[in-house]
Amino acid sequence: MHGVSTTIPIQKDAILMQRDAKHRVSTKPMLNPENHLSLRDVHQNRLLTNKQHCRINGNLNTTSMETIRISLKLRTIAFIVGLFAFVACATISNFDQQAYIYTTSVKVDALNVMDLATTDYASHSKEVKELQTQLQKIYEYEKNRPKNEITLKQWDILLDPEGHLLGGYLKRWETQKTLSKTFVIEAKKLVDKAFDQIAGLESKKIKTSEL
Amino acid sequence: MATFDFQTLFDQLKKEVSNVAVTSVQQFKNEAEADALNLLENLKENLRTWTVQWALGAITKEDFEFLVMGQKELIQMNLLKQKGMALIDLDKFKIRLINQIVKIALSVI
Repeated sequence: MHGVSTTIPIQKDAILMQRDAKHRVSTKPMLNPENHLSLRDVHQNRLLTNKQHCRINGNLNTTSMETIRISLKLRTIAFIVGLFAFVACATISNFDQQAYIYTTSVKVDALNVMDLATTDYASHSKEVKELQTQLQKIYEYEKNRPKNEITLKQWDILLDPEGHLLGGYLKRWETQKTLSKTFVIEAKKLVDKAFDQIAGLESKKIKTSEL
Repeated sequence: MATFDFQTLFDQLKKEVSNVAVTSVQQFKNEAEADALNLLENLKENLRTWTVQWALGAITKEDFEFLVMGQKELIQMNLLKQKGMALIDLDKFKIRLINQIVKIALSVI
């Protein structure tokens, strides 16, 4: 019994040693000459590729400098074009000679008609109608000018029949038949200045020659 | 190929924009201030005259009220004029700016 039990571990050890040896062989680097050559080739190829890469980088640097220059020029052009677009986008209408003449001309007519208010409205209704027609024409002209909202608002205030300038004055005259001399003089001063606000703004607008 | 320094262009433009803006704003401020003060002086004078006229019976209470309201509307019209003039100045500023930009850009490129 004792002899059998001692031989079995010896056999086991031998088997394990054989396995280890096989394993050691299999983990050793392969020294196949064919494989070794191919590695050298790979190394040479890598060197060659690096050289080529440097050459390509050199070309790339020149090309990228060109690209940057072109890009900067394009940026400048885009910047200038953008600014032109910004400037072209005016915020208010330009000066209109016709509108200015209409305004100053109708101002004289309006003040002359206002003077008639010391006498009965009925006897001057024709003059008042003519003035109103003239004012309507100017209003329509101003309404159709682009970016002319501010001037149009000024006209709205001046001509509003519910207001207290020209529109309100004509309505009051019609309602009361006649107006007092002192009141006419004082109201005329206000209407005179009101027309000046419109004409004054128009005259300050940018002329075509200034563009 | 001519060399181009974008930074120099921006630096010069920044300086010019600042100069143009300061001049434009100052000019507008002076004009607007003078216009508003003139209207205020006119309002004071008118109120004094109308009060005396009302007291003397040259105008009625309704006339007086109408004139005061008319003066108020005139001030509204003046405010619109100021607003319009500010926009005109903005447009003028833009024109001056673009002229400067083109001038500087052409000198730098």
